[in-house]
Amino acid sequence: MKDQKSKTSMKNLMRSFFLLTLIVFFSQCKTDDPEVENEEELITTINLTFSPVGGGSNVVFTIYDADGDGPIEPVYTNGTLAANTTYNTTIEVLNEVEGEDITTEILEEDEEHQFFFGMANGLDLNFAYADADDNGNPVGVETIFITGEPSTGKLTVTLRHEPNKSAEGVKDGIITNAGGETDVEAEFDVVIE
Amino acid sequence: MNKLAIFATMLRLRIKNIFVFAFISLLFTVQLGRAQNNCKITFSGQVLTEGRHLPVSFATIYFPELQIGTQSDVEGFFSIKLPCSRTFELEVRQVDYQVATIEIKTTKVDLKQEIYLKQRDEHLSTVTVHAHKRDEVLKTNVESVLTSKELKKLKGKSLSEAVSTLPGVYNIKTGPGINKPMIHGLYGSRIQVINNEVAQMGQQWGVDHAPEIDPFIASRITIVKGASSIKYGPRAIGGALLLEPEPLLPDSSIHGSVDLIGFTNGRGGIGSGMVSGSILTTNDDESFNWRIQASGKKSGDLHTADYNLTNTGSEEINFSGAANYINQNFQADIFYSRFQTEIGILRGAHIGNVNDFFEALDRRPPFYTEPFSYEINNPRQEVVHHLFKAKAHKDWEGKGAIDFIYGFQQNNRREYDIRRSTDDNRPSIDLILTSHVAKLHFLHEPLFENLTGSVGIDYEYQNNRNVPGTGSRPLIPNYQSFQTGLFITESWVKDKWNAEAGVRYDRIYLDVLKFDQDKNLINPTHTYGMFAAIVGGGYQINNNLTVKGNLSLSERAPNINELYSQGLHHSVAAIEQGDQNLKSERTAKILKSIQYKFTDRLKLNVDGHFSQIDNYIFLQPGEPILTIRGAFPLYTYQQTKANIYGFDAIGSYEIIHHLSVHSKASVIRGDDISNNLPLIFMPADRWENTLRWRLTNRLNFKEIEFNLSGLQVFEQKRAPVTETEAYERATVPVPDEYFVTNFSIDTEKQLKNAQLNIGLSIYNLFNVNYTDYLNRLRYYAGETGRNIELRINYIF
Repeated sequence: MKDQKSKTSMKNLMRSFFLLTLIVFFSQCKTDDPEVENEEELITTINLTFSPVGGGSNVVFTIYDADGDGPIEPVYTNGTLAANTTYNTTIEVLNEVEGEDITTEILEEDEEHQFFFGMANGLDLNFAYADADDNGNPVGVETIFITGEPSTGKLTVTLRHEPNKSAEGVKDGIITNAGGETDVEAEFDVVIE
Repeated sequence: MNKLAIFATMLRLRIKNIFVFAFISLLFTVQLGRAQNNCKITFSGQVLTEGRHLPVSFATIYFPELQIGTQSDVEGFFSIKLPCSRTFELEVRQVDYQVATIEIKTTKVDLKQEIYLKQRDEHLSTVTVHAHKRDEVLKTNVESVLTSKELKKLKGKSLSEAVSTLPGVYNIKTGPGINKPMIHGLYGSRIQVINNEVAQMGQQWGVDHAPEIDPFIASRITIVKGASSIKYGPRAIGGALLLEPEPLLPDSSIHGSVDLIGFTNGRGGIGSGMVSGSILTTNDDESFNWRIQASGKKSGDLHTADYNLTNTGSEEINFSGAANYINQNFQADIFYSRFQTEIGILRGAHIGNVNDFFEALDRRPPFYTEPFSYEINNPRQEVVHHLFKAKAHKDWEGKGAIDFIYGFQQNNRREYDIRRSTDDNRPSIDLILTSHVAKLHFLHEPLFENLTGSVGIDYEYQNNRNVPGTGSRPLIPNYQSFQTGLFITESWVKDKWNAEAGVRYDRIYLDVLKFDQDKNLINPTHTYGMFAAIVGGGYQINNNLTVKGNLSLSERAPNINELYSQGLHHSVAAIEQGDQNLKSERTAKILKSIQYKFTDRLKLNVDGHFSQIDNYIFLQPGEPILTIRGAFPLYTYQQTKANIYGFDAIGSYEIIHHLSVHSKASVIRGDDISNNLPLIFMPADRWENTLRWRLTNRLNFKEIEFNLSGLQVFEQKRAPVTETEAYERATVPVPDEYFVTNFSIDTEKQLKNAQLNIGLSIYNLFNVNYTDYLNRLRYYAGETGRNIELRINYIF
């Protein structure tokens, strides 16, 4: 008698089991259309504006990369600086695809960011940081550049995210011990006349 | 029903009597034993079933060495005289039970011991033979197995670390926390992981995506080294990894186990518990059985020999439940498991561009190294994996058996990157992969006496979705795939010969939805047909020499990442780009295995393999491309003709009784024939030797085993230069050869109705600082230093 009962319950169990399987099996939904993901981390543009102290027209160096990490190569706009001149320099970081000014974002988290400037190939150019974060460490959005004798060479602008600002030489703009990730690395051709 | 109840009471009474009798007889035998003078003792006891502890009557108790024996009586009791102070092998046989081989050590006093026999699979379910039989791997394939005994020693290691102790299997790492198995140089989309008979459906394509499986579920892990596409589908082109839980069988009492593991490197711990039981009906063949299991892990930062590896902690929490119904010729199973992990990735391995890469390369300790912490920050991964399985099995006497398996899986992978804004805690990769798998297999009973085989149909559906809101371009697109496969395999076994053959055909339809460069939604589709075939045979030349081998052909359609991946990988500072026009890979593999027993003490097993792969898909590093972030090498998916070949050898030699040397060696070569270069990311040659000393029945322990092993990994001298040339600055060095020593003690203690296993391992005994070619974060930090691990396992 018990045998009979267990067999019917078994049948029920089986039936519900297959039913469950079928429900799950055929309820596979159609994929929704994907949404366009805005590349929020994208940086397209760096504007480096040199304003001569005591007046004169600004010199703007620009790098523009339409697709950030994508295959399109960046485009440079270089400029010419005057010899033996002091410039107040500001940096602007933009995401032109989104119409976003990333400079404000950098300044909001200024402890986490720092710009570095490297001169190569005999370029007679010196700089000093003209801003500071809440800990009194430089950020590099505002700087002072002093040109020397006429020369040409490369100016490399690097934006580091989460650098170690207390490491040796980092406050003075030496990148060697800074660490962190590079968010921007632009190599401008500079002419000093 | 009444009859049964009466029988049960009688049985209970009888057992009571047995104990009284046993006690008296024990007293007597001890007395008698003292009286002996030609130094013989009485070895007596009772043969009982495992689990229910019922007496086993008419079991043969035989000592092969002495060529003497006796038989247990109706109540399972036996008694025999043995010489003093010696060790003997004892075989206990009964037709309905598995043969038990036990070591007996006699002293000068009488010995009494209970012997437990496991029921034979066939007996427990006279007809449900196949239900309890594990999914049989092709006979001519070469497989390596980690049994529950070996797994006990490896508890606390990740799945991939555990299987990489087998020859021919390697462990690919992304830092210390992420481990992925590699078989004969192939991994990812070329290896099929089968968890509890269901193909694991995660984001397997990623080198930094570990299998989403709780290793505590498995009581047996098999690595199939041959191409096993016939049985497990096109993804098994490079081999398969099968995990099987303990079979869920009727048991009259509640059983379970508890594991506690603590380790010093990472200051972490692992806990796991399992309980199982049965509801038995009065019908002897019928039972409901259940099991629940859970495990958790917590580890902080690991460290190398010299420095802390900041942000390499991990957390894991898993649980599973299983239940089944078994009767005479039918079995229904359901299983559910949830796996969840959070793994930190070495902070110093997140870099911006090629210049950062070269800076990090020389930097030891890496940038961002801080003191030990349990904190897991970005970059990190979070993965949740659900698996639901239902299975029905039916036997037809004289015809065969039919299995229907259905599996539902959902895999949610979230990868958190370093973002420009520190407060931004959104994942940059957020993928949900939902899949359904259904299999219908029929296994026929032997035809013409010796021919067995199976036919089956497999269906797979996958739906991959990028969860919106990551704020970064998806690495792989949304897609759906539908795959159907049909197969037939037959094998013929006669005396010392066996032969087998099989064919399979799969068709996959891939439906992709993505945005093109101009943000227009496009819907490319692909269809691939994949064919596989195998022929093989084996011959046992004599008792000491067995030879087997097979030849297989298989095809694999390009995977979604190979077709469509697009994006920047921060940990290697490289941009990866897929190619929609890739063709299917086609592999021909020859596998040969020789097992030779020179003497009882000296054994050798050599497996050789050679495969030729047409349209082998690989990442070719190319010229760096310039971006506003600096330069990156561009890796593109390309196809070439490749050869991969090598051998695995295992040998063992027993120096003196219980002291043995075990040796394992693996050599593998990969050639890119079209470009005349070595293949990238092939494992270096390795040779491991272990000195093993086993003590039995000493110090109240049933077994104590000491293992001292040394692993020598040679330098990979055949790494292609293109890998490092891509960075166009300096060559990236390949790790030097290294030697690591490990030591372990494992003990087994039989308690009353329980077993206690305690193990202690010291990995990297001499705290060596080294790097491994198969670790993708080798550029940033070394491998982990010394780790002392204590494992306690209690089974009741």
